[in-house]
Amino acid sequence: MIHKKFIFWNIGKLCSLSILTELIEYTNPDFIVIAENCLPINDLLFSINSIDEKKQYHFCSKNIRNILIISKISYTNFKIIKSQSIYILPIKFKISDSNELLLIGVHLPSKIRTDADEQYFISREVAKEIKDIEINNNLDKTVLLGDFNMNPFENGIVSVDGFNGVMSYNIARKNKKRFRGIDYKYFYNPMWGHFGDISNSPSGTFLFRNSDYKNKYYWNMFDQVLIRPSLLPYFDINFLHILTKYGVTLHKKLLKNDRSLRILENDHLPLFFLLNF
Amino acid sequence: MEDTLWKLDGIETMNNDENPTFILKKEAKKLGELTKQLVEAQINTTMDNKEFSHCFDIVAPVLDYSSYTAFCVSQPIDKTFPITIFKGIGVFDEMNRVCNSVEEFKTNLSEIFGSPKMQQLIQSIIKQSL
Repeated sequence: MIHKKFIFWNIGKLCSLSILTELIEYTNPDFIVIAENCLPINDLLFSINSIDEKKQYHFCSKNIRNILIISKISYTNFKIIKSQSIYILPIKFKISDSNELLLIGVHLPSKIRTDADEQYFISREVAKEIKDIEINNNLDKTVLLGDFNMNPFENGIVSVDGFNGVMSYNIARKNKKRFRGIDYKYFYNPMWGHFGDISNSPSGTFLFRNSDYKNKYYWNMFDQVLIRPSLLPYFDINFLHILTKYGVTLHKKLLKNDRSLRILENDHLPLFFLLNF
Repeated sequence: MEDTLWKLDGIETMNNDENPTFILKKEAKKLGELTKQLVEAQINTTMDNKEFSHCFDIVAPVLDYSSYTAFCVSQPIDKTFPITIFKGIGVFDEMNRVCNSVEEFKTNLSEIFGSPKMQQLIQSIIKQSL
């Protein structure tokens, strides 16, 4: 069995090379997806490739919206797929002789600059392009990983013509929804399980502290991983975490304390999950 | 032994450390490690009826995977030596150099990899990889 670990982090406000390096040292991911990358790539690679010389990371690609993907897989085993949309960065990775993975870094527009209608419109456009990429490249093992700037319950994420992301494993494994004669393939969105205080993690990945009327949730789950049904056998929800600590001994915290709702370093928290191929 | 007309005894005992292509690939991998994968290299091998040609291509992943052929070597198709190293980025004064042994080949490679021109090239790529 091959374990592949993934992390995602929107580091825009934090922009700290040392914290990101320590997080990578602690999680030892195979794939790193970053949104709002503000760090020079040469500094970043020098830093993370000095952790352990046997575990070398390779730059894969970046795009105009500063989505950045780095992996332990070298360029002879991945293919960057051209995208019309600036909101996604798709890369096809060869995991093994029998497994190819389509990893798509996502960073959709912020709610500050777009309203709900526009977010829904953009989601539909992006979802359509992802479907085309899958068809053109004959791939269905797709992971969307990034900052969607929408909660899992919003139209762009749940609608059939959006990402069609469902909260239930048992629904997702049925593969698709037929609606008015057209099939729409599901994404499984495991982030639903991390809302509120029941899970042993923060109530979301993004904290909005403003006390105005529109801010109804405080904690939001903008950072998400969505996976296609064909990847469900490889996914274990017990290994999906919203990270709050970093450093090899886990003594450093991203939250001042878990109850205070005050994030120490950044307004987004990182995501971690793994796939067992 | 299986009945066959082929006579390939000894192919399992080839020493890769003495194999010029292996040496090139090893140094290509080492370049990635030394530059923290900001500069990588690959060996592009082609073959015709007379010889193998191995080109040492330097790749800059962050610069849209632009590549630059640092030098090429040619090797007879039916034996390991002589190997001819072609001028490439201009480390040598002469157009090419002929190597008749692994030692000569390694000495010439060392001159190329250690040359100021090669170091300037690598440093420039790293500086541009933002």
